[in-house]
Amino acid sequence: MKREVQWPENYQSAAMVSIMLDCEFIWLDMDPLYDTPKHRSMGEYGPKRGVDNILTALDDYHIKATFFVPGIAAEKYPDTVLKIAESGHEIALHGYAHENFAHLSPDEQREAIQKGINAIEKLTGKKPVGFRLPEGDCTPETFDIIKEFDFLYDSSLFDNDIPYFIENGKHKMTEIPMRWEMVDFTYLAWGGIFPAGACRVAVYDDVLDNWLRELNAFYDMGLCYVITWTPQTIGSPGRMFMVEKVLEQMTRKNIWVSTGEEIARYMLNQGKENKV
Amino acid sequence: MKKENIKWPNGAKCAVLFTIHVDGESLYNRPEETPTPRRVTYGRYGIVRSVDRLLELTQKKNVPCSYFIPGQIAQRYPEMVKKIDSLGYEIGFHGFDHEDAMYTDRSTEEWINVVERAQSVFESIIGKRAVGYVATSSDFQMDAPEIWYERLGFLYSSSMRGDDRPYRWDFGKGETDFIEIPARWELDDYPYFCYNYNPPQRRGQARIASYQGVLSNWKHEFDGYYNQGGCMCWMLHPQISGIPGRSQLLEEMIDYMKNRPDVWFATGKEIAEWWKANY
Repeated sequence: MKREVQWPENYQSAAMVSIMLDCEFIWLDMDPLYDTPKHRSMGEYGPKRGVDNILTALDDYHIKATFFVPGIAAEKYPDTVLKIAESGHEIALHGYAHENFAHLSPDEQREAIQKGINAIEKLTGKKPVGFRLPEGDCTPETFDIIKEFDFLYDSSLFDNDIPYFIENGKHKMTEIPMRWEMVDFTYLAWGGIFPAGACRVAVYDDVLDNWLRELNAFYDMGLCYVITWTPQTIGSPGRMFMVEKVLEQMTRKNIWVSTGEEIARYMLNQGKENKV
Repeated sequence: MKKENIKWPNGAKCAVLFTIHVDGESLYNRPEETPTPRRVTYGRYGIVRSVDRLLELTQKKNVPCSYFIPGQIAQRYPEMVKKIDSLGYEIGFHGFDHEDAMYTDRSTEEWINVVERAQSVFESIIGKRAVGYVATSSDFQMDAPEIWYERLGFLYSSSMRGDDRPYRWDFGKGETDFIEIPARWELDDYPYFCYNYNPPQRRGQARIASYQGVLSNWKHEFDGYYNQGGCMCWMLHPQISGIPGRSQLLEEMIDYMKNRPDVWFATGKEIAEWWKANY
């Protein structure tokens, strides 16, 4: 099969480890009724316990990840976010209060993004260049709004398995598509309002098998695999083996494991070279 | 009840039909009042990436397929329709907008008009009309199949769930030449794998199933159809089965079936015509 993207240094395929530091804010946004101690504590587990486990695993495998952080999380957990940034991982934006953009007016969306950028830039000194929609949908205006802030890339959509460009006018943004199949929350999170039908927590070995099958297939086909973990969900002692197995497979194969920013910059430069 | 196995062509033990439901954006770009642009890209993946991947896979494995394409998708992606048709695969009817209450929220004349609109799109792109009818998600009124046959001239439908072999429709005056090729949910990738976070999809937001578990189900199903001589009718969706890992899962499944030398892989049209001539 012909490779559509020539990855750097003759790598066969690419992968991005994305971590969403949703904390308690994903639960608070689902339903204000869940602004309660137990639901908050489910999310608080992430910065309190999960992050350290994940940082250790990333270090063990020498992998740099991209952490999508809601601005409010940078304000509430500055030490955690600084620790992540100082370990060399990318800090990207994940809304301000993990708000569902489908429910916001265009101006409210602008405000959420601006507040989010401000919170992260104030803490880390660097403006985030990547964006991912908080879990939820968006409105027809959203992608024009994201581009107003000159993001280098977005990673929210599902319509490809390699990065592509979203262009309007002179601004060219890279889209690094993601998939629900490679998100931990969809399989393993459980709470008062999620999942809607209160179905069972999935079997770990099965979920890991799904992730590895996709990883192998993305590798065989030369595509860009994006795995998404949330420290509150995957960062517990009994689940960390899943992270380790995936990272182990990634490093064992000839895969370019990189951050969203590096992938987006590579795509942009490659695009330029191709045009010349 | 003991029943005689069907005598499939060339001594085949069973028949296998892949119906591919090319929903594209159609299932996800409604209602218009509350657009969900992010969710729409979930469906678009099927068009952008999967159809080519499935065509390549099924050509490599020499597996005929029937592609059921909503009218709006054919209209938006005519080159895709031409490509599927030119490779010898069948194009069938699957609503215009993948209507989900096609037979309950409009009059008979109105839904007949939906069928005609889709047919005229096919005619304008590939110069022929669909002969196979796969009802979209909704159920249908009691006299609908008779209208598909009598007024709309379809050769066959694959919309029912109540058998594992084809049969002739009987509208109360004896068996007709209208053939049903029933399909079963356990051979549909959608109930196992479809997922959206918000709005939740399916509505109970059940977990995405285990790939290895589903593959095991499907192998058991094939063994059953093979042993009993049935017609194994799949319902696959490019946006679901065309992603990298699941396309490899499908390849594994096809290899499992191709291990048997005596399986008849055919399009819906071929099966319906054969049934009409023989049963």
